[in-house]
Amino acid sequence: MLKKVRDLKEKRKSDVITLVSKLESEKHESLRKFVTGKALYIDDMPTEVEALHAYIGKADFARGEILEIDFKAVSSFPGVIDVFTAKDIPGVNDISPTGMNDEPVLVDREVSFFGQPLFVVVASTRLQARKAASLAKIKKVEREAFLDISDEQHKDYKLVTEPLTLARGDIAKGLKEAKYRVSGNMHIGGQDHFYLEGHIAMAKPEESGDLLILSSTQHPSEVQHMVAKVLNLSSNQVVVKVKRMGGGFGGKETQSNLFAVIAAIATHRIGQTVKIRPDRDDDMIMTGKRHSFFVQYDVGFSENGQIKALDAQLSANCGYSSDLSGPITDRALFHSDNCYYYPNVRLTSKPVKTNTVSNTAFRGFGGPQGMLLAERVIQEIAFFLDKDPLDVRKLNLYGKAEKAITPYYQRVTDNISKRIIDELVVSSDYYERRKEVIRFNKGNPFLKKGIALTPVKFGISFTATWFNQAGALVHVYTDGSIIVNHGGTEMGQGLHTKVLGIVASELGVTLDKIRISDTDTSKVPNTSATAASSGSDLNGMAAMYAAKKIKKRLEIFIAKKYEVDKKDILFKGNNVFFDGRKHPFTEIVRNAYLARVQLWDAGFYRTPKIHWDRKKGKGRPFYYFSYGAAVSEVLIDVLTGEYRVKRVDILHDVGNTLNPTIDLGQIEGGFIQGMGWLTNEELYWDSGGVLKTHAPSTYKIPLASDRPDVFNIRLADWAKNTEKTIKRSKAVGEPPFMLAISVHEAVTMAVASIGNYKSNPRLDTPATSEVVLDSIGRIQSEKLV
Amino acid sequence: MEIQFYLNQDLISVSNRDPTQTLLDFLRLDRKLTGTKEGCAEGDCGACTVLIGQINVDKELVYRTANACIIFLPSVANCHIISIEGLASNSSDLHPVQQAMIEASGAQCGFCTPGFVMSLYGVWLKEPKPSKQKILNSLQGNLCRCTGYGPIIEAALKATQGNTISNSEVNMQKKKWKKKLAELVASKKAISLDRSGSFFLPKTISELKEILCHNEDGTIVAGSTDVGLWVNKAFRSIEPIIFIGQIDELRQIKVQKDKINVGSLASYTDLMATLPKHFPALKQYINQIGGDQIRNMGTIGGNIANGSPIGDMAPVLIALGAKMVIVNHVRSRKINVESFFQSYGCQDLKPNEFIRSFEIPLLKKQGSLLSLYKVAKRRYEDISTVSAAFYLEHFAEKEPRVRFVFGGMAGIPKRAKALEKVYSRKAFSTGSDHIISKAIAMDFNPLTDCRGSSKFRLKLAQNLFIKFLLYVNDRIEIDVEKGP
Repeated sequence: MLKKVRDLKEKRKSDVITLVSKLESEKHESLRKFVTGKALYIDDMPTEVEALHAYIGKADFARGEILEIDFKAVSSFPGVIDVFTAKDIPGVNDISPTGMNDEPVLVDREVSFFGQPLFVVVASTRLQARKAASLAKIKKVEREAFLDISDEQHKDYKLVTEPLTLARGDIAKGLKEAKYRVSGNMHIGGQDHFYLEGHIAMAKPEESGDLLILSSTQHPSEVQHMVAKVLNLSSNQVVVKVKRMGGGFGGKETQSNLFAVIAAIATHRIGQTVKIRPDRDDDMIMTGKRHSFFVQYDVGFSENGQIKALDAQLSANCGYSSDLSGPITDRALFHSDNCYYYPNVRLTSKPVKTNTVSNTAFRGFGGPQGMLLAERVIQEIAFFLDKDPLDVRKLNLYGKAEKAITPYYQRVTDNISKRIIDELVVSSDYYERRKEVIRFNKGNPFLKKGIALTPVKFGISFTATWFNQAGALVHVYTDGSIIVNHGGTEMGQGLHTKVLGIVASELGVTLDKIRISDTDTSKVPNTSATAASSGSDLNGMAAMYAAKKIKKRLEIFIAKKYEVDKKDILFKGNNVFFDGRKHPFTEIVRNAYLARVQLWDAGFYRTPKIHWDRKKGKGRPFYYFSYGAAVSEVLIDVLTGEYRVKRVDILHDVGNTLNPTIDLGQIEGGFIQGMGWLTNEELYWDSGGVLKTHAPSTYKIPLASDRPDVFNIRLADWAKNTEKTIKRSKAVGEPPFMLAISVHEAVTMAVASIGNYKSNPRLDTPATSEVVLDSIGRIQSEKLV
Repeated sequence: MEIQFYLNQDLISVSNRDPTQTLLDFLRLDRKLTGTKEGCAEGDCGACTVLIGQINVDKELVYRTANACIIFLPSVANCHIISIEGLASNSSDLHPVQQAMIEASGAQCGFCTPGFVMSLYGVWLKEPKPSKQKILNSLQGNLCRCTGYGPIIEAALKATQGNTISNSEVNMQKKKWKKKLAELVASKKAISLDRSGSFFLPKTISELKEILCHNEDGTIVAGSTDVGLWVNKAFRSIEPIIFIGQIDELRQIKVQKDKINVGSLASYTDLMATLPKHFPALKQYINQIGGDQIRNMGTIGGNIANGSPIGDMAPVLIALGAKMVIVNHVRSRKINVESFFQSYGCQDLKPNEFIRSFEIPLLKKQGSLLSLYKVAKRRYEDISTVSAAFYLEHFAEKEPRVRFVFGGMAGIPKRAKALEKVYSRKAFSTGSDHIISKAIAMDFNPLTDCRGSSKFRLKLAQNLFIKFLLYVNDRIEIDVEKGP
């Protein structure tokens, strides 16, 4: 027995850091509550007194000035209790997340986008508040809205924040000396988050003006700071709690500030609990989306397809304010290389100000747009040289020595893209199937197939280095039950499930002994947003540290009291093994309590090694990279432009997985969401700057029937993180999203078959059936000429 | 006015309330049953899915999924509503579809989950071992943004293929509820003509006639799949409301020798059960209308009465030369569906009239054909960019009789007269693209909106016709779903 324990402990120590053993359960901790309808979201939570309801009155034009608002019909509407405007805000009228002071809660005069919040109505019921908010008479002067960032006429556009340039090598020389050169451009569409639970916040009055805020947010600490700032309170007067969100995807990183702050102002004025939940249409009109981009590129390459130089400009439609557009456009540049080495490179961002809602974080955070540019460049070379794009991809992969340097001077030292691609080529039978696709296209005039393999390399860490920190609390009660609290929020991604698994295995207890309490700014302070795929990397580690401290104290206590060697103690299955016997965990805990041993502790983690100098464009912004690749096969209808994804094969790297079920769920869900972005999900603004696709009736996310007929997903089970992350795992939230670029490339091939693969269809995204049919028409007319 | 219905196990009576309160708000706000969620309030996401049990024209109790967010409370009078809370009687006792959703990890954020569970329950109740295609059809009205659907489909297969609850047990339950609902219907006083309230619940056609005679400003509500949005999104006042869902006579579908008589209250699901036998193209076409919940709720009468240029049934009925029977308290008249649509927003229907039924001529045994196409941004549960119904009679002869009808190409669903003319003159073969596009450009000048540009619509109309010709001339069918 003793030897077995020692062996086990030795085995554990043989790993570089102490690792958690296989998790007790892989399933999402709330599944049972989900399927019975018992999981509580904010709108489901009972309040002691019926809450009042706030609603936002919004601008009905995209740009101009408010002269006067007549509130008569609003205030006299049945049930209305209060109406307030910008003038009534007690503190600072700004919720810009990066301190740019460019995002008012409510506007006074200058309107910058259709749907901008102007005033707030509070009423007894939500329906009364909603109806009343639509009754204001607004006198205004309208001016022409600026919407199109690719419009050459608009040389006088403004930027919302400082642009960035990443440059390495000699771009002019590189382009000049390259044998071939191709330039072009691409429109990349935005995307609505379409979290199923829309935005919502509730503010409850506490003693002496203090507030409790329930918010559907990925960033409770920021909500706390914004509420304090807008109400002129100090942060210690505001507590923000998050139980769970019904989806976030980045859409609740900064966008939840508005609703939380409005509920808080209303509660501050009236002294009662106030809730705000915008209707789906208003949610889509009033909150930011993924940035649309217009990218221009000029690439020089050799006769075999080796990239010699790339010069590219990435203009982003940021909307009216900066929000997170700075870091998002930065990340777009950081991913404009994807897996490829550019000997000479210059990448420039242009965060352009327009008259739409301010665009914001969305899974991938600019990365997908940058990566799409990289794959477009590969595509151009492949068409130019009449090669299989995969061969061009393989030829340009990052390598060793100088071929491992990114445009931002970080070295790619953990590169597994080649092995991933090679294995996927075999498991998906890529080359045979490509031959078959080409054969098929020869014999079918009206249906065409396309197949493509695209890889992904995604940098993990917040590029703002200071965000890479996290805290956690672990409390062990005298009955042996445990509560864990950490700074991360749960939005469906399974973070709580992973953290539970980590703590359970550290303390050797089963999952039914542990609960995770709501994320709460009064427990773990100064948290970072649950974003950038970093949730379990950061919070998981913090929770493990906290659990370790408690365990260490228990070991010291046991060693002293029972006179055993600390090395011979093992925590497992709700028992503690030592002395050749098993002792119930509860008994040990109770005895430790009586001996006045501290049974709770905090853990803190900060990511090592990272640094980034934005001015110089140099550093190591990422702790490590996550890799993956996908092969997609599509079938298109030449007459209608409709298409179907027939088969997808994915091989993805999550390092040593913390939870395969949850990781596979992230990969599949991320892929389908990415597929939606590139295929059906079209945001359409009319010439007056009015978003016309503001509900699921007009904005089409993928359905169950859109899932590929054959969908094989595998984890690269041999992959381990070369860095000392929790259990050597890797982040999984964002990287799989970009695997869907393979769908876009496959559609490109299918369309190109019309012109015998000679001409690049240069499909913009989303490649709706209209885009595809248009491109087919273009290629057909080229053929006639 | 008081209405009664069963909610899970309880008999509910409500009176004196806003007749446009939705079933969803009633569940969440009045009954504090918060398991049913609001995702969009327009019947497009399925987070609010519940089951509604009603005794149908064949005196059978049928449970169908529906979107509680666009159902007004009086619509469920005398029905049995099952919400997610009514599925598992206690927390240790899960229904097989719930158990399967857990086993397959069919949820991530969980917000859409109760809606999915109810849709799965609906398909589970409907038939013992549905095909994968049927399962996918039944999930077309539910959106999930997290999972990518794989685990949910897996759960559906798991729950239905290894069905552990015996048929007899389900039938016993059904029998019990059928009896209860029948008693409820029978116990009703003559409430339908009560004019004190802001709504009416007629049970017969003659009652409906009389109500309309005295309430010309009334709004007829059947499935409320569109009217629900007038209220929820545009705050339109629609009172007095005439809920016609209790009028069984309007729901009947009768197949006669040379035609089918379809009551205006027949839902798409009802149509699906009968029409594809006679018009095979309708099977796929109806499947492309809405999600399952909308197909259960939406009616053929509502689709036409609405007057929308993108209502999907209009091109079909016009192409088939269908007639409609319009009645009021003094007379009944029969017109062509084609002439019902006068101009955008203007139909041949007086305020005191209602659509009673449609007469759809059957296809001639030989030599006639109906082909239907719909293109939208998303294949399923989407509004048409362009829809097309092509009808051809005697196509082997020199002067065929044709009706080519398009939706989404003009302010009303409209025949392509120029195209019909050129075709009738010389039934051209494939490859006459130029003639087709010229004719279509003469027929239509479509608008540009979020569903597609004018140019795209013209091209689609042309190519859908080419697709049709390929079928007529060469029997070539092009469909990305069916494949080569």
